[in-house]
Amino acid sequence: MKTKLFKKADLFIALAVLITGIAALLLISLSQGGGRTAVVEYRGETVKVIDLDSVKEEYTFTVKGDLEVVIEVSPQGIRFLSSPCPDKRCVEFGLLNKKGQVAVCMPAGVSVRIAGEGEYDGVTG
Amino acid sequence: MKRGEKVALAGMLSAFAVASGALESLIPPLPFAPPGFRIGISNVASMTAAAAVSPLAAFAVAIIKSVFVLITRGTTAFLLSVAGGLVSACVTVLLLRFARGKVGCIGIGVASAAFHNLAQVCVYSLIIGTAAFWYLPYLLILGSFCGALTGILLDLALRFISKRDYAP
Amino acid sequence: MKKAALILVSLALTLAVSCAAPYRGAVEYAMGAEVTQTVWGAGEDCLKAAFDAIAALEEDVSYRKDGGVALLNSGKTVNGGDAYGIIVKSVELWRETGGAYDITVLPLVRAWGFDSGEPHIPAASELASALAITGGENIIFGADGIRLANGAQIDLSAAGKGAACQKAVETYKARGASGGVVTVGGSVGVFGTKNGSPFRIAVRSPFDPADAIAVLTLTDTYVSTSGSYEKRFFADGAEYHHLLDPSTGYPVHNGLISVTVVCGDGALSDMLSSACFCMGMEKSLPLLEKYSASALFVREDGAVFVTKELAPYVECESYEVLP
Repeated sequence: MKTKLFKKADLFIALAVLITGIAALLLISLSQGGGRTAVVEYRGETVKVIDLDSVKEEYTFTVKGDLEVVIEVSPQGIRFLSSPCPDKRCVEFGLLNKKGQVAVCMPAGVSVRIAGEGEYDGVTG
Repeated sequence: MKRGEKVALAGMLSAFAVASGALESLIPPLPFAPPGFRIGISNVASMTAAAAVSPLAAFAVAIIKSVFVLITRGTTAFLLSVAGGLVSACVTVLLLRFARGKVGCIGIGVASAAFHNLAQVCVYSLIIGTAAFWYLPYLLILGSFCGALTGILLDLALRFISKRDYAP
Repeated sequence: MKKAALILVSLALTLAVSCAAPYRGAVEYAMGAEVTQTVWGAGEDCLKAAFDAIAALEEDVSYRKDGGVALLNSGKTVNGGDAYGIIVKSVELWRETGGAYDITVLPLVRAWGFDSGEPHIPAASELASALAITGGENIIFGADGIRLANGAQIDLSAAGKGAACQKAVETYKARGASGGVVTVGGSVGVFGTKNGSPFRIAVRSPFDPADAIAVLTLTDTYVSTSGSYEKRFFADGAEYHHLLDPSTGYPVHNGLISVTVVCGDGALSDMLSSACFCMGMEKSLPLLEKYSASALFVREDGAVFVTKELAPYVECESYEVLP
């Protein structure tokens, strides 16, 4: 049987995929409070958690993953500043400042994401 | 289609997959998409193989493309490519087998793209941890548009082949 | 296909709706510290009422304001009020700890300049005269209330932030919220749940203020931390911090860098963290047990120790459970 360009079922497939994606994004950004926390992970292990709302001055730090990457934190957000990886895709992600955003350096195994209300509900000390 | 023609078509599709994959990695990323995101033109080749040749041909195209990726871009890229390629080929084959006539090219393109993304994110998560799954919403949204595009290309390819009286 | 799409959509919507959205307040200032509040199942007026309660408490317990503590420090007699209650608990703890927890340290704090933000090593004579009027025995309970003898001056800042958390939590409860978190400086109060799950409280790393050394999963309790890393200065090649030993007048030096106490009473969690820091790990254990409190100790070398009651609620890279 010949396969046509478009059938009614296609609409449902496309809508299901699209709506799942949009709903997931909305859940991430809406269901959480106003705070922004940057979570830096290396192969699934949390390396650093930064409360972006309390950052007042720009600073950088290095993460020793499979490669050593430099991450910059500023009141505006967080980004991969430099990485010795060949494709520099992590740097291309640019500044992350909205909940749900992710940047990944695959060769280093390091990821940075903006969590919504934060990994923590409060901090003592 | 004769056996020889099938083999020839599968070969051409493999070549197209390799070439389009290589070309796509050269063009700059889409402005609104995360780095590393691609439309997935080479997916058209394995979908066409599934629709016009045979399920086996679809898997063969996916694997040949991935081997090329292994040679040119390394193991990590290979794992991502082979997982995405095989899973999306599987979805295409299953849709054609059980829902042929009910789904159109766009539906196949979108479903195949969604599972391509899902499989890649799973492989991703093995390397960088669960953070990878935070990617999935973006990939699904962008993928539904790019999947529709590859669906249109699939339709064009199938029309081209059927005009040549190669239709199965 | 239609069904599958419908199921997916409704699943996503149910997930989104079933979560009561938290209401997060703006950062405010009280008790000389940042106050942050988040409530579930309540709104802005709940947070406002809670902050008002904290501000009223501050008025009575801060020696910088004009309430109970200021009156006592100026030689008057005080009977009742928030400060009164905290002082009664403080004197009890002063006895329990053999003087390690003492609210009459204000002259010492002033001698070191920790109240002014310009800390310095005090002159020996200055320190001696401050030490002479330090001691819980100078808090006199009379028939008409409490007064201070011997020129003693009290400072409730080692209890106030924890007490403030409790004021806020009591407001959340009274206003029917389903959950809430309040932080006043380094003290945290948690109440109820956030849509059914407990709260995750990070214990700040003494070695990196942007990092957590441990995470506690808790509900309906209070957490306070005393750390020598909070206010410190370097002079003459040595490091000095604000947690003073009332018996020597000098910063405590016993190998601890931070003590976090979890306790069902807000003021007590704060007081006990100071007391335990001063007494050291070993002597703290019976004290904690007496007050049904638990603790997490961080040593200067980075080693973490947790009391056995708290251990199930602790996430930490490596730690030792205390007997």
